[in-house]
Amino acid sequence: MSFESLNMASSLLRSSRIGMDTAGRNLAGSSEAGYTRQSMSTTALQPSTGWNGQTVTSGLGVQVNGVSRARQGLADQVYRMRAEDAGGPQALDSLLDDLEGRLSANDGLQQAGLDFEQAWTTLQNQPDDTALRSQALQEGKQLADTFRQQSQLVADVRGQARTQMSSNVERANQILGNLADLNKRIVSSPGNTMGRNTLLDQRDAMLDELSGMMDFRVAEQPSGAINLYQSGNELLNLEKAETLSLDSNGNVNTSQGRSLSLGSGSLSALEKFSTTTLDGFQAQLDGLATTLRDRFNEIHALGYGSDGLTGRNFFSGTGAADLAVALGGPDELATGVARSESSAPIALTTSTPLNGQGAFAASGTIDINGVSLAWNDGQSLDSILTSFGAAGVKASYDGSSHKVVLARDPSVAGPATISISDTSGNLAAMLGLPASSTPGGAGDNAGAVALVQRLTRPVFGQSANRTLTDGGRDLIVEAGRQRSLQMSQMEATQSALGAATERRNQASGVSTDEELLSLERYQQAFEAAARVASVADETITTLIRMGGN
Amino acid sequence: MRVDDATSRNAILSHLQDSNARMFKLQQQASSGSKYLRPSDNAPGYERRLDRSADLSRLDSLASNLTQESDRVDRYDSILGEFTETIRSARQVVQRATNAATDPAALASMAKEVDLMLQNTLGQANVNDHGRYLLAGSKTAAPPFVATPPDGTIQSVSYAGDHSFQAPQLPNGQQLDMDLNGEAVLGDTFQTLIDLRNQLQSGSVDSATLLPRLASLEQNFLEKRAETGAAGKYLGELKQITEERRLTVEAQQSNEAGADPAETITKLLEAENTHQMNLQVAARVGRLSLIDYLK
Repeated sequence: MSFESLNMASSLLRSSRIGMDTAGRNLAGSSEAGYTRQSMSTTALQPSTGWNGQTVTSGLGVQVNGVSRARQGLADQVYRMRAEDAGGPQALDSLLDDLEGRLSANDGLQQAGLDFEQAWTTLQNQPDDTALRSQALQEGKQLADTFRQQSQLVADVRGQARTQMSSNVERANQILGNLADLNKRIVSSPGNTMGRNTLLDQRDAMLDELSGMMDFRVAEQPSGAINLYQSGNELLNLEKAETLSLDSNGNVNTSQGRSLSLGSGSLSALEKFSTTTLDGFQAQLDGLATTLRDRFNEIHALGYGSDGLTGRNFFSGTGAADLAVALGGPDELATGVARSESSAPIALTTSTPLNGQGAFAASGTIDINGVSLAWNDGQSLDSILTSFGAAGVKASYDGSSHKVVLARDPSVAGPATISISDTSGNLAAMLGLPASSTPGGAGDNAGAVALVQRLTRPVFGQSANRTLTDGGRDLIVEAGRQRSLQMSQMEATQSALGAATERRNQASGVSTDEELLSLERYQQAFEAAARVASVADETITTLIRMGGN
Repeated sequence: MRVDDATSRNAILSHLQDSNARMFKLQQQASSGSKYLRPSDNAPGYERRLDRSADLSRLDSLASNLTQESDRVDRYDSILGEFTETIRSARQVVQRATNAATDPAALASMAKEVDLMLQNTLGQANVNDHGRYLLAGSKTAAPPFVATPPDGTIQSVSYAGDHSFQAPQLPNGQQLDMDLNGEAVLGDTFQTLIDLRNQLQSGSVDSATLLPRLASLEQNFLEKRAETGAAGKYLGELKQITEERRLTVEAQQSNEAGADPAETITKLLEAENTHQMNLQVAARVGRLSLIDYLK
């Protein structure tokens, strides 16, 4: 027992106290987000010359090297890669939820299209029913309204995505600013101290958060500071942080105006969502709206309203955002068409050749709406009337009244009226057909029938193979598919992120049990060291007294 | 493997969130009776649900339209039945007039009877059903038959409608083969009745001419009734097929998208038990220690 024993006891007391402080700090930090478990590192003291000039080789004690963080670089890298993967699906969660929920509410465009179709289906049997006409008009307005609402919905979601991007960019700038500040403080703080470890924890937490937004590379400097690089751009150089901005196209630019290539993460996902997914939905909506407008109008404009007027479009607007009903009232619904019929009964057999049937024994051409149609006496009246279809006219022979009845077929382009002239052969004169048509009566449904057929036939969609209701359904299902894909991606990436977190926590996380044991161990070591110091002190005191005597 | 506090907490929270989400979904299924609440639950299944909903809606609409058209055809059949009866009565008048040719008073009485038939037939021909003149072709807004003079003894009746009868529309752009415009239905009924009345008034009935004309008219009415009868029968069959199809689609919809109540409730109870167990585990693991208290 010598003065060296007192030195040894002193070093043990010091290391035990630092050990207890470290365990206490770990216990206190166990519930702090981003806290890294710390541990004290010690080394045995090297041999030295004692007070009497002799070399002391035993019982020298320990030296505390510092308190270090239990951090693994690889685990951090893996965690940040996973956080970057998880950032995209996470950022789109509420946006796609909103899009899906609102596009599919009340079966959305499919139901509005179906209601419109059914209103016309009912109207075609009772075109003279004012209530049904009003209902068809109202359903048209409702359909146009649904288009406008859904277009506005896409715009709203785009606005939300933009706001989210903007707030991400703002947060990224804050993080870069904070990292620059931390760089400064870390460089000036002494190594392996709890204070420096706290700064490093803060830095890691910010890098973790930034990794959810974008892909970046960290380069640690010998001083302990870090630089950050993103697609060849320097985001952070020691104490100098880049200021990012968001342009109107959704690109994230540096202060020099260079666009970042975001890779993955929330910013990239939001940018792609705006430019690909939402543009796709808007294009689908606009496609359906313009097809509806054009294909419905081209038939409607050839029909007659119950007010006897023609040439009116049903829908107006340039796309889904401003689609509207262009009609003023239910009388303007073009349920009828132009009609002509024989002025007097005709006595002939319709299915036998004209030759020999009195005045019809002839040949020539008849001009209907500018289309010249040849006929001859070898043809039956039936076959001649069928040929009128080429001029957009449905012709039939009423066997009871013995009259030829012509109705304009609005599904064939051309003028709304029927104009007939005999180029040669006097067929029109012989059939008693007038030169020009008149509108059908209030009960005329030929226009409505053509419009129902247009609505129920596959003329919508990019390949013109969808009905209007199919198109509406496709929008809802596509939103569901996108949402489902995002949810499964989110589940997978969150699961991977959870595994990476767990792996990182295996090294860096605090275990209360472990820390309590450490605390116990250091407490006992402290008591033992105190006992050693006390014994050494008593021994030396005794020796000094003995020497004095 | 080191197990730290955060890992334990995260695992417990994750289990609690999972069991809570599962319970919530099952509760929604139980309350709505549907397996797919949103398209993302099962996009192909939801697509089929939407298709079947549209099918059901169209079938409902079709059934309603078929009922209305069936009623309309019945209305035509009833009018044609009355015309047939009128013509049969007129034939009987001709026969009676032939037998009582020498009694001017009897002939005058018969003339009045025929005039009444004429007026009734005109009324029937201009029948208006909910604002629509049934025998006007497409010109349903105005009475199709116009008597001259408008008041007093009818001297002639002209047709003001057209020959564009709107036959009931069927699915897929088809329509029933019917032509019931006024002229096609009534032909020269009015002129025949006017001639008969005039001959009765003059005391000389040309039964040899009138009886074939009346027989021809009756034949025409019978043929038109056959048309309406066939149309009514076809519409009835179509309605039945529509109803059967509706039941089939409804069953398919229920099998595909409907949540079985017993199965859902059982799963819900199971999920509730799991959640309770997770809560107990969380309570035990998360119980505060002395150290937590000291902190």
